[in-house]
Amino acid sequence: MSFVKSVDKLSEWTGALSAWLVAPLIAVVMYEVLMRHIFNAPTAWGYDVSWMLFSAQFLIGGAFTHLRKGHIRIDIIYSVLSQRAQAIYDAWINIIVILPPMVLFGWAGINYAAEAFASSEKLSTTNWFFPSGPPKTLIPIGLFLLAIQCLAEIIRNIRQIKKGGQA
Amino acid sequence: MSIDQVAAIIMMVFLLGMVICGIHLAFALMFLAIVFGLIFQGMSIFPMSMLSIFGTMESEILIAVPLFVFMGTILEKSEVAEGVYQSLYELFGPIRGGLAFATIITCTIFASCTGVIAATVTTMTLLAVPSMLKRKYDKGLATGVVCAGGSLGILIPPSVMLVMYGPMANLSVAQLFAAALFPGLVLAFLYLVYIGIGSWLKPTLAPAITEEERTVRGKELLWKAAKNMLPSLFLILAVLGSIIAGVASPTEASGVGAFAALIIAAAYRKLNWSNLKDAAYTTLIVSAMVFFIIIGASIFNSVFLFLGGGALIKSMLMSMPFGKWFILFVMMFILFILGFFISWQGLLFIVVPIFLPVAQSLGFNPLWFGILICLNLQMSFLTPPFAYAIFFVKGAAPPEVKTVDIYRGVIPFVFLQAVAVFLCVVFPELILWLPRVTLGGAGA
Repeated sequence: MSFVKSVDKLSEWTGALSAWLVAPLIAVVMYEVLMRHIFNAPTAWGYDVSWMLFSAQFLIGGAFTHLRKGHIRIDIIYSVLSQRAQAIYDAWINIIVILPPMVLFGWAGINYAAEAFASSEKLSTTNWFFPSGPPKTLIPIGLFLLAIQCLAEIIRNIRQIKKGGQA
Repeated sequence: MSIDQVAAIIMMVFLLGMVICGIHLAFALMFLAIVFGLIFQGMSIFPMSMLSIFGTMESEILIAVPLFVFMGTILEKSEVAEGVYQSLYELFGPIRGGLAFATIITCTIFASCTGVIAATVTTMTLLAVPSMLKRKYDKGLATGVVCAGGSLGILIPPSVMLVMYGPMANLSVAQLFAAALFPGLVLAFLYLVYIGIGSWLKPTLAPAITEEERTVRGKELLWKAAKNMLPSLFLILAVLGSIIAGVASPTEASGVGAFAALIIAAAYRKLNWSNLKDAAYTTLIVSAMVFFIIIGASIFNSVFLFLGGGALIKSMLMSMPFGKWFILFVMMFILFILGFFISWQGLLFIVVPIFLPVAQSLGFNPLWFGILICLNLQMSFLTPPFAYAIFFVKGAAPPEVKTVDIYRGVIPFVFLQAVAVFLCVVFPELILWLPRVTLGGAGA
């Protein structure tokens, strides 16, 4: 399987995973509501688990959203370009505007998470004191997935430019 | 003006330029933040941006965004809107402008359960526009009504815009919900009055349907209307009521609302695998799109404020003549103009953080100011060339509807939105009364 196809597959899978995180998210919020308002016994973990599920959803789903062209943009100028020009334009946007921030912030995310693991830092949001390393690791995971998808888009764009050149 | 401040202005100009050139808002924000951050702050931009990202992740209130989107999508998939529109169609059809009334009311009900407009506008275009065109309604009116009604979703609580406005401005989302309710209803009422007067003055604008076209009457009609409307009305009242009464947090209410929407879908026999999957994926894409913008904007803003850009714009605005009402007018006007080109998420996270401290030093009530901003941002849905509502209507309307028809149709509604902003400025109690009564405070 080619690089582009494998990356698309990867984003489809991570997209499915993060899309279905909405189910446990609803379940955890519901459970917490029941325990807090009806049984008067709020859980220690409900609050933290729900924001972790929520942030995992949008961070891991970023790559899939890029694949599906879900990140919004104004297409007044873009839509009047020819297909070939669109591919050239997209390639440059991916190379200059999207890829570098994803790689740099992703790398910063690795350091950020590694520090949390090394110092066995705990979350201070509630009294549950869950380690902060795992949720912080979501940042580099999400951004690198997006960076990889971005590479695949660049290759796809370049292929399209070449194809357009022959026609 | 220092070099840093010049850089901040350049950063803002580049952002507008990149966005207008069609670069994704989320990535343009991150890109500029990295470039300007590295030049002026050095490597400390990285740990700082990680704190911004983690801050967004930890924010409990924002969990309500995906949950409200999921709730709305499930209700949309349950074809509740279809049922409601059908029964209102029978109820109001025989009066002039009746189908337009039915559209606005259906939209208002759905506005209160979706919080995003794409689904409402598309559904209503498919439903209401063909039926209005068939009855020889004016094309502009038929599409303008759907644009305007559909955009109510972003204002009438539970609205995703308000959930995002709250943490940014340090306001309680519950108070914002309570505060937005009456302005939203006033707007819907203005729309109804406009349609009523318009179709009375000009009968060809929106002719009545004939008696023979009604399929059900009397008791049967009322029963049909009740069956279609009560479950969703009940859901809305439960979700909104528990938030506005202060019983549940918006996040809790959104979770329960999402769950209840699943039950309603099951009751209408629409709870199947493909609907669930569609709803989960729609939620993901809206969520990732919005939160990448929020992350980008929070990093962008910290660099922009570090460079002193916020202080610069504040001093420029504050030094304007004619007092605080003129400054308010200028801020609203800037938002309105930028709304032609930039989507509301961009305006909310880039322009509003600059205006907030200005409003604060002018002594405006933050809750009142917040609702004025959201009313204003709602206009950006209707102002071309970049107008979500118009895109969605054009995408789903029958081919005989031209974009020009829609442009013509939205003009009166944009005007009515401006009237609503004006009313809220003159009568601040429209905004402040409900949150004060229910939650005992109108913003600190």
